Amino acid sequence: MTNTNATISLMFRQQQTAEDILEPSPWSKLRRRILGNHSFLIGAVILVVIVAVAILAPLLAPHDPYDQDLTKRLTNPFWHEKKIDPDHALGTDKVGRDYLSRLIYGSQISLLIGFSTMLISGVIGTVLGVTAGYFGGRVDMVVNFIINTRLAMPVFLVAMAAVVAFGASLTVVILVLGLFLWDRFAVVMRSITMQARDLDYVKAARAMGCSTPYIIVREIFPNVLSSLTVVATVEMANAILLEAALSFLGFGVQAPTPSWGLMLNEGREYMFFSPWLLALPGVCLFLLVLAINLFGDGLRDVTLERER
Amino acid sequence: MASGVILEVENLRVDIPVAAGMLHPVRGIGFSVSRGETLCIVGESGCGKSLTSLAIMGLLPKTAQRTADRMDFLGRDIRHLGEREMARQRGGSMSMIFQEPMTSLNPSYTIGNQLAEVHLRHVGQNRTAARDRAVFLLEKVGISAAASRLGQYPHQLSGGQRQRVMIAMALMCGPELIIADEPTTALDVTIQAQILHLLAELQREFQMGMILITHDLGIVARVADKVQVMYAGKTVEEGPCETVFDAPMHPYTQGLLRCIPIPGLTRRGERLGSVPGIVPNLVGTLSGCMFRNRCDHARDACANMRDEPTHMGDGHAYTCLRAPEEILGERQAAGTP
Amino acid sequence: MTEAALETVDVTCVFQVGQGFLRGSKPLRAVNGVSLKIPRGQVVGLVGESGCGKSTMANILLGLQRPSSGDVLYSGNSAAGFSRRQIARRIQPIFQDPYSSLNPTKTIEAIISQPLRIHNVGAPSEWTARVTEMLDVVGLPRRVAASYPSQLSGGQRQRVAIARALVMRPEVVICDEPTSALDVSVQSQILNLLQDLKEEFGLTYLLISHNLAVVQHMADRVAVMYLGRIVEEADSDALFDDPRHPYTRALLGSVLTPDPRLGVPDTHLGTIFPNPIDPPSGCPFHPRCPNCTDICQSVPPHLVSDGDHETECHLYGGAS
Ligand SMILES: Nc1ncnc2c1ncn2[C@@H]1O[C@H](COP(=O)(O)OP(=O)(O)OP(=O)(O)O)[C@@H](O)[C@H]1O
Ligand SMILES: Nc1ncnc2c1ncn2[C@@H]1O[C@H](COP(=O)(O)OP(=O)(O)OP(=O)(O)O)[C@@H](O)[C@H]1O
Ligand code: SF4
Ligand code: SF4
Ligand SMILES: [Mg+2]
Ligand SMILES: [Mg+2]
Repeated sequence: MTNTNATISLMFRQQQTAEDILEPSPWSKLRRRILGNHSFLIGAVILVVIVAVAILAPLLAPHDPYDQDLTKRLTNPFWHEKKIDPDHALGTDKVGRDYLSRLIYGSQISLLIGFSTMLISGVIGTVLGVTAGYFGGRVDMVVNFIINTRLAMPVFLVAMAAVVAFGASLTVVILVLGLFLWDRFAVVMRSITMQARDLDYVKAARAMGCSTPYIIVREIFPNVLSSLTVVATVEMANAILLEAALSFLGFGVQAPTPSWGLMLNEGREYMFFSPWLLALPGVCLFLLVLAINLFGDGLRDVTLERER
Repeated sequence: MASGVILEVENLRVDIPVAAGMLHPVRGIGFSVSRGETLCIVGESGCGKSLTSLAIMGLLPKTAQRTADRMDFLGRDIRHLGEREMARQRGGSMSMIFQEPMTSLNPSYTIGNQLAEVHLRHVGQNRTAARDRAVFLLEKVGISAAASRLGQYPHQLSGGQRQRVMIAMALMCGPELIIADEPTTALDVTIQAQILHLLAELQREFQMGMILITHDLGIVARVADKVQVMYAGKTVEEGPCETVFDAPMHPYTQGLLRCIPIPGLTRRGERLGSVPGIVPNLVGTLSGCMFRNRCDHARDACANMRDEPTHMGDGHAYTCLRAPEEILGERQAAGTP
Repeated sequence: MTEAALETVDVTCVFQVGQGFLRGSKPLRAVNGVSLKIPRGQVVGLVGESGCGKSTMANILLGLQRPSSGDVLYSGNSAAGFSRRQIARRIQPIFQDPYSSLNPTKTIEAIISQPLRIHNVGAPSEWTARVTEMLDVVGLPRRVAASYPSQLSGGQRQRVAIARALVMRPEVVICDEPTSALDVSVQSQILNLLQDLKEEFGLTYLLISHNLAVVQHMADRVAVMYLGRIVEEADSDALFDDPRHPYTRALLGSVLTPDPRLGVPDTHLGTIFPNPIDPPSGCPFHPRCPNCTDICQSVPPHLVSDGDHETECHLYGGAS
């Protein structure tokens, strides 16, 4: 084909598609949708505040959360008339530790547990799920068997047994929860990967000569990321609640560590005379879990719309 | 076709509020269908064909708002019928065949159950009568061993068979009007021809009115009595099938007809005509001819065009600024339709 | 006939299909002994109904699916001598659905330059230039390079898919229903583009489609598939002027040309649909064939050549 001919045909082609780009970029759309999604925003704000409190705990806490002062046991928080101590805005517990400082440091424990558990279980579940979903067949059968075995085990009982066997500590709690809460990751990742595997762009990548690991990491993974984050928030909230429950029953984090669950346990005896000892850590837990769930729900709405 | 108009619609509009504002997917459509007549609505994806049919059936999505100057079905104004009344019409005297046979049959009930259900709900006779009619119609739509098929589930049938079952279901209560939204798009060509053949035959036999929605001009030419070409929610050209195909007046209709390769007419490797550009966005206030960003004949006045169809007689009309003389003169100069 | 750019020799592809819980699996012959030659510089059309094995053939030719038996020859050399990457440089696909064929998380530039990156062609600094060049070639405005697939229309996306397929300058492009998801007005643009590119790059196409009008418009040679076998193969004109196999005839008879003076044809085909897991005895088409005779029900016909026109039907050749 001669040069002029080529130019003419080229001009012709361009005039043919004198159409504009249809839509704003997905990122600007995402931003708009985030700004329009109230539950996502509220969840995100509370979460950011709690994370900031946890990180800045040494600066924010008025006292050392471990400092006991037996002369100032069970002082009342500021809204009471009697027996308040100006030094302790939210009062003290039964051994005279500043309650506000313990609550502030407690956020570290909850977030640490939630985050590490999510990380460990996320890695295990995603690897299993994506492998099963991508390869299918026999690999899938094996993974399915593992998932079912895991689902047949009661997490809570096994966790208590493990704590009894290995001793109670933060590490043990994190490891036990992390090694157990991956099932939802695996199930969700498996089904999404299965769908993504059959999409034409994955086939195109294979036809391009891409290697299997490349396809999984570069083609499939970015497209399952949003679902992965949603599952991650659910699991994080789940892990935080489980830790609180374990600690409350004495099978989790041990005293004197300031864990909200443990504080609930310690406050139990004073339920009638000093109900805030129970109420304050309860409210903190509630807020944190609510924030994570709002955030996750909002994230799902925001990203699902994107994929439509 | 003097024998009675079944459905008459004037100035039908559908508006849907969306994030970016008000979407106007259907902007003043009007048509009428008589007994034994087939009206084909043809147009590009997203031009509002399905919403038009859903608007007639009263099946629009919850957020959509419908207005019309007139919607008479069998002489009765159906604009303000309640949901319960509409439900009685649907599947009774007015029924619909959807594009996806897989999703419009319930996978957890047998064919027989689903067919009988419709009959019992609308006609309300006994089960035996319903069953007999189901067998009769399954045979009619060309499903072999009909009686034994009643116990089968949708997934046990092929796509073509499922679409036949859908047709049988639509016919269960002897409807006066059938609305078929792309009934064969998902099917193979041979099966498509079989199904269309069947539909045309049944329609003649039962003297039903039919609205067939499609984007395939081949189907339109073969099946339609009347054609309605839609673009961006409006009718741009309408008329008797032969007239529209022989002497298309609107630039969009002309463009569409030039786009398709026709065995025997277009030569191999020859360049096909095209309609460059894409459908405009229908959100917000719209004015003038919406085809102007793709039209070869667009001029300034097109931006202010009002929707006054030019009538060519015999029911043939088009909505475009160009005078008939201009178009006809051009056609004579080119020597081809 | 010119040399074959791509050829299959008696390829068969069997899938084991599960029969449901605890019922084991049965073989499904998606492709059953197919020999197909794709001459260099030509367009071969492959038609047939849904599930007859067209996409499986495409996958085999692309090296994505290993045939159970038989061989694929690239320029006359057995597939065994080629790595996946070598095959990828010669043969590229274009798929049907422009909405799933582009990764939604990547920009158009990343999508079109991906083959260059995978195969380490040229320096990264040249990639942008190559992408721009390809955008020009497929008639897309250059500014789409930074956009994402969701911002483009169906036709524009299909152009991106074509650019990605051509950026490595392959010899053969396998088009699996390249226009069936598009509106007619867009379809004609894409067909015109494919036509132009064929000239410009000296491409060879395998065009899979169930739209016979499209196949007739594009293809030099046409193969008709039914239930995993090629039942008729001929030069385009010969096939469309003188269809021989009853299935081909029904297929051609089903084409609805936009002629308002004609009605919908009666194809005289039966409605019994073959089950690919349990194909009919004898000629697989016999339960639907209007010309079926006794021999058809028991003896499978074999391919009979009449010059370039090959037919597999008892009407055209005695059984052995
Ligand atoms: N529920 C809804 N909410 C918002 N917009 C909608 C909704 N349903 C349809 N639309 C929009 O209305 C327009 C017309 O849709 P419609 O389904 O009638 O098109 P169509 O002509 O049937 O197209 P196709 O040939 O693709 O079926 C489209 O732009 C579509 O995006
Ligand atoms: N991975 C697989 N496992 C099992 N069966 C398969 C697989 N891929 C395809 N099949 C079967 O092989 C047959 C041929 O499939 P193929 O996708 O090649 O058909 P096709 O001609 O491309 O159909 P269509 O026109 O619908 O795309 C079908 O019966 C299909 O169900
Ligand atoms: S009114 Fe103008 S823009 Fe619209 S179709 Fe007619 S000439 Fe084209
Ligand atoms: S071999 Fe017999 S059954 Fe098969 S296509 Fe030919 S005539 Fe029909
Ligand atoms: Mg529709
Ligand atoms: Mg296919």
